[in-house]
Amino acid sequence: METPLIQLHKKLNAKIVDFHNWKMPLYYDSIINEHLWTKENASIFDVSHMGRILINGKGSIDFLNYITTIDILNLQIGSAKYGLILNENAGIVDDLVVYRIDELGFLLVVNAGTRNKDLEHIRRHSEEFDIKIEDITFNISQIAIQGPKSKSVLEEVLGISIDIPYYCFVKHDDMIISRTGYTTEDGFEVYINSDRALEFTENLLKNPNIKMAGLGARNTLRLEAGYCLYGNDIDENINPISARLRWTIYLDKNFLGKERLLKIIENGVNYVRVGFIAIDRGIPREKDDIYINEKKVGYVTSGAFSPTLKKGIGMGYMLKEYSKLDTEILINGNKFKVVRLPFVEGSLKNIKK
Amino acid sequence: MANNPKDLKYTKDHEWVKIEGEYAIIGITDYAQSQLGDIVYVELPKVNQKYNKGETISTLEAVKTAADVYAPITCEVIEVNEILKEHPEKVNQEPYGAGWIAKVKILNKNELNELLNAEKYENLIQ
Repeated sequence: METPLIQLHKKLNAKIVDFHNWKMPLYYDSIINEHLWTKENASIFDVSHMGRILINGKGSIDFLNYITTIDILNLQIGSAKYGLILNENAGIVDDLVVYRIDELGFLLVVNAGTRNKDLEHIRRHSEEFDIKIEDITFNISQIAIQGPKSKSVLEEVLGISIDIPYYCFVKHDDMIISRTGYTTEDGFEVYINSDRALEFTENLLKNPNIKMAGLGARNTLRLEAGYCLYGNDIDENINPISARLRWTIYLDKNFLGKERLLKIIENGVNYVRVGFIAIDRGIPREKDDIYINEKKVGYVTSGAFSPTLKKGIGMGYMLKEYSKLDTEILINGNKFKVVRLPFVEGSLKNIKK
Repeated sequence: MANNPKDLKYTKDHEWVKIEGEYAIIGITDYAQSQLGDIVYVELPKVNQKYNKGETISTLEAVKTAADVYAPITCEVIEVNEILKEHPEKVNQEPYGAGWIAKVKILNKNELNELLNAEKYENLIQ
């Protein structure tokens, strides 16, 4: 599959890779340069590979309250929230952002690799609810604009002011503009008709403060921010407590997986998600084992070189009793220490309340 | 992709070899560095160490992935490119020049015949 920006990626000599059957740009020039540019200026990320699903109808509130961990009743029109879809065993089916478009209309933004699974899961559990499910992934494209200059660039190009709080959105022409993202920086995501996505992106690129960035920089930016990547850091075999995503769960309602989740909370978990940074050199890689004194105490789920810190960083799961901050661990013979997440802060902290 | 020098020999694992009499210089191809992306650490071979053909001689760590460099021929390392310790990005910037990895003594001349010329290598990566 291709996004409406594929010709632009090719024209800019992007290294194109297969990502869950989508032809996506990994980088144009260099992951490090694109990462550092994003933290100083603004970058455009083609994220149209993400799944976009509309849920409408009289039963939409009750349905989403049941199927996600989000407090849908208190989700205001014009705002969005990050949360999870759990299965009966409280395993994570997906992580997602739910936007409340109007009284009964919601936009679900889900992962590319899980879209079909999610649609099936949603359909399977929707029978008792009066809802309409519409997969708009191909009709509507998604462009992320991230970086401290993203607001000024977007305002300049669109000729409007976009003073909205974090995780809120406005409608403008045929677009939805939300103050959301997957980096440590201030940023927006624009949902736009797919036949206008290329023209919109090319207009943005006329501004000298903004450049394209690929999935490589998207990954290093999200890792520095300590965000989970579905399929790496979370999946159906991981529960939200181990993943330290308790904050995404509203417990004062009934939802799929709640019964099991309460048991997990009561009993506690053996493994917890942690972040770690190289003391000297070495880069942790997915599936590497974590050792303390020759005892295996965990495994790596995400790892990369941090362009900001100039060191190897990673996330993974460790036996809880070994996971204290500053604990020294060994990965592939290199020394790391357990650190607090996020690894790096950026302009995002100024707009988060 | 027709930027691979004609005077070098290549392997299917994307190393290049510049033969200079009894000696050779080894590096990775432009294609290999573009597949890896930004290289941030280079683990250099050991000087005076003998490596059999196909043995891991060096490891390149890029932002998202790591790759082993295999000895394209049986050889003894006589010099390594120390600059790469401080400037691993040279491998990305000048894979056929300042980004060379090791100078070696050729230990089995017969193996040279098994290396690919530029044209054959380019057919391989197309």
